[in-house]
Amino acid sequence: MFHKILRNACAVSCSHIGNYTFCPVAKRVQYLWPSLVLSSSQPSHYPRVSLSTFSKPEVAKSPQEEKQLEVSKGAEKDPTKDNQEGTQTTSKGHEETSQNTEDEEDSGEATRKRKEKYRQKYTVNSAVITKTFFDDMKRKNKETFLASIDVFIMRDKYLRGHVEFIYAALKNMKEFGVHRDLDAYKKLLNVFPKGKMVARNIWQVEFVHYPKQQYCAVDLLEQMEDFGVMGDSEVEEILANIFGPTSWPSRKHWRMMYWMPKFKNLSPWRLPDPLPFDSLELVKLAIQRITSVDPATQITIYQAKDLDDASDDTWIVSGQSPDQQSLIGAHAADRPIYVEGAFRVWLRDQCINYFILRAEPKVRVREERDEDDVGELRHVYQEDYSGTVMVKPLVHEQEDGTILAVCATGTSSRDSVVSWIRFLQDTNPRLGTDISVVFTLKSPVGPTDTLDPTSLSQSDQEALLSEDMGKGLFGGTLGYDSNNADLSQWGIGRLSDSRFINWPHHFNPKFGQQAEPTERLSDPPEQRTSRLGSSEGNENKKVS
Amino acid sequence: MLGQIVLKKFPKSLLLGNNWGVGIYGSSWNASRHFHKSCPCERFHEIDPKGEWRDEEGRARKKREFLVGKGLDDLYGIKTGFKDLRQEIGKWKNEWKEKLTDDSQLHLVHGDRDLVFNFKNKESLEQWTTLADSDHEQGFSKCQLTTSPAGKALFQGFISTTVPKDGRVKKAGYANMKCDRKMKSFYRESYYDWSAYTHLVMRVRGDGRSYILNLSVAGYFDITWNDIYHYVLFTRGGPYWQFVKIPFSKFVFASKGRVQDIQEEVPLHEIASVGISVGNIEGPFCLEIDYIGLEVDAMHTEEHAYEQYEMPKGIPNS
Repeated sequence: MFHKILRNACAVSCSHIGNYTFCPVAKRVQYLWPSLVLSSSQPSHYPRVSLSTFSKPEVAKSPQEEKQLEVSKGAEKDPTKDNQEGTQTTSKGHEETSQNTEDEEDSGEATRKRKEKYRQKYTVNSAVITKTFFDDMKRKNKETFLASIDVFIMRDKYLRGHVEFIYAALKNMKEFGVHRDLDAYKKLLNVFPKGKMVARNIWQVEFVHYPKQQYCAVDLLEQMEDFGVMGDSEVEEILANIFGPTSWPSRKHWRMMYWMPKFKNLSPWRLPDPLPFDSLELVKLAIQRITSVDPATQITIYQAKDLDDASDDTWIVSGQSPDQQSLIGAHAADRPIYVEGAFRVWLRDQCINYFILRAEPKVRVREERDEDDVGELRHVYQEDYSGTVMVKPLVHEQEDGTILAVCATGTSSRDSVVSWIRFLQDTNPRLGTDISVVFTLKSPVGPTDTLDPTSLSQSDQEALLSEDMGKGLFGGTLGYDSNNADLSQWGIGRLSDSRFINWPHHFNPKFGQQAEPTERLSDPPEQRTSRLGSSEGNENKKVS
Repeated sequence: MLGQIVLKKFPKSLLLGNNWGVGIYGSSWNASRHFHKSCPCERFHEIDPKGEWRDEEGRARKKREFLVGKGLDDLYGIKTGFKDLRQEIGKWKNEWKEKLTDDSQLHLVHGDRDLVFNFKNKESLEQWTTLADSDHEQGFSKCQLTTSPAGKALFQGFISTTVPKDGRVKKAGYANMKCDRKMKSFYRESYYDWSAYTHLVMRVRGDGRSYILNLSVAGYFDITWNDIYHYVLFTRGGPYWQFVKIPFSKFVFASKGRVQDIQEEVPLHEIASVGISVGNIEGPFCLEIDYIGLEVDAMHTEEHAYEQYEMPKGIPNS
């Protein structure tokens, strides 16, 4: 059965005669093991992927030849010039020349050095492997990661330490930015030798043939799953070639292929993958998500600098629907409208602050009457009905308040929110003139985060400090330590994966106390700076 | 393709424990959409319902005390048991009365909704317990269950994905709230019987994060102690309340966070407890819950959402 698969699968123009095949690359005939099941993407007789055209390095070579080979290898792989291999070449060269001169004098010393070099070259020590292949890389990107794997495959015919290497690679994938890249995982899987570890009888299947390698592959697939990387049929083939279809990694992959598609698109509020990097785009998505209750919501982007007296130069994304505008129009003039914030909304792993415009809830009087009271019996034909139709409450009218608008600003500061209200007066002329607008920190809608205490008035700051501090878990209505105005009091470390888009502390140098922005390791290097403030080229525009 | 030769689609589980070599590590429960965990695996039987969080010292102490031999007072708690006897008999009588006269589920029709947990005051929170990974020294997350400014239950806290450096934990960051077991007379554990219903309904106000709803169906036998049915609750975020209606047919069967190969519909007559979990993403979280209830929807005829496949011979543990 496997012969047929082999022949059908092989795409390279190797000619097969029975169990022999001719490889045009190495220009020799090779015996084809019948039990090998090989991937279609490789020459059929190669037991593993080898992207380089060089032959495998031999151990017993004269120092000069070895040096030449390594130099030529270094030249072939241009991107890896920065890495250890390059430096190794020069140091080895130096060692070799010194070795030659001292050869006659101290043969014991030479033997020791040669053994040391051999041990270093073929080490299984995971610390050394991590350092050599990953930590010492100057440029960490997909190219160098894949080249690292190539170098590892090339250096030793027997792939000593490949499990340790794969574990080290898995740990370093995030730093290289390839943790969500299927190609990197495939390349890493291809490090395993093919055919050798396939179980051939029920005992091997049951007793986890090559358990260390199987567990390693399972951990690799687990990391893929953690980062939401879905495999494909090629991964299935590779795993079948390496471990066989009865192995744990194969089965785990099948399970991933069954469940991941089922869970992938469950969210009713679909977000692009990956999320846009630009803060403004993210905030637009957030406001769209929040206001998706009312499909007629119009989302507008304002620029604070369009106002004369705004001190904050930032963008403001505001969402309001015609229903909400009519609610403001019908609002009683003696009752104020509150601006509350800052609340949090998450988009996958990015946290955005937003503010709301809220009015007191409309109290609907419910007639309390005792159904069992015989004296109060009513008959449907004798009832007096008022004749008016009860208006169904709008989705904005909730029992804890009527939500009249939602916004998010670049800096989440008091100033920017004031600017927002000014902009809202264009479509809601009663705001601020007829109806007073009050800025509050507390809200019945939920816990708020006071992120900008410096913009509060003195009395407000004192009020904030006098509240129960330390009892709550984090700031706003639950206690806030204004002397320690940064996110680290909440445990958000410097290199957190989550991004806090428009939180003033920690990310906005304007708020000064923590000037160092938090970087995400998974961000592309050229974008690893704090990303706040206005986004160029965005005029006042209506987004539906 | 090999996949076409061998039946290829299998639901997911990882039944082996990761006990390779000296560095035995168990990753803490990752309450994400993937919900998996690799735990120090008890292969033959579960020693304690609490699993790896069992109190070893307490167990050893109990064993010692049992073997030492004490007076009738302490032996088997006989004396204290007699004190409670009257109360418990009263409870037991009431239970039988309820059982024989209960018709609450007989007259349910399409569209009926009933509340199970109504978080209208502080007393309603007493039957819920919160848990975070910091409670088990597996992480640094914090959580609390309080009353929100609107008067509803507020489950909030902070998830920290910092992994403690003890060599055991691989991933960190979870928090969870779980309701206490329903108890019968004589301190027997009982179940919720939701067999007449088809949907779980909730009114929540989340922060945009995804939470996991857990229905524990722990039974008498130890292999069922960790059986939980999960479903991911996606929250909109924002100031608007969100009404969620989840069919029981969509719940996924898992054990210790690992989705199992053989899926079945939720055994609605033996629900042990309900829980809500969050985790995986570093940062603060907050979920406001108005109520958790049940609904009867006669139009929903799906029994179970996840198709099953026949396994080929020769694949162990399936």
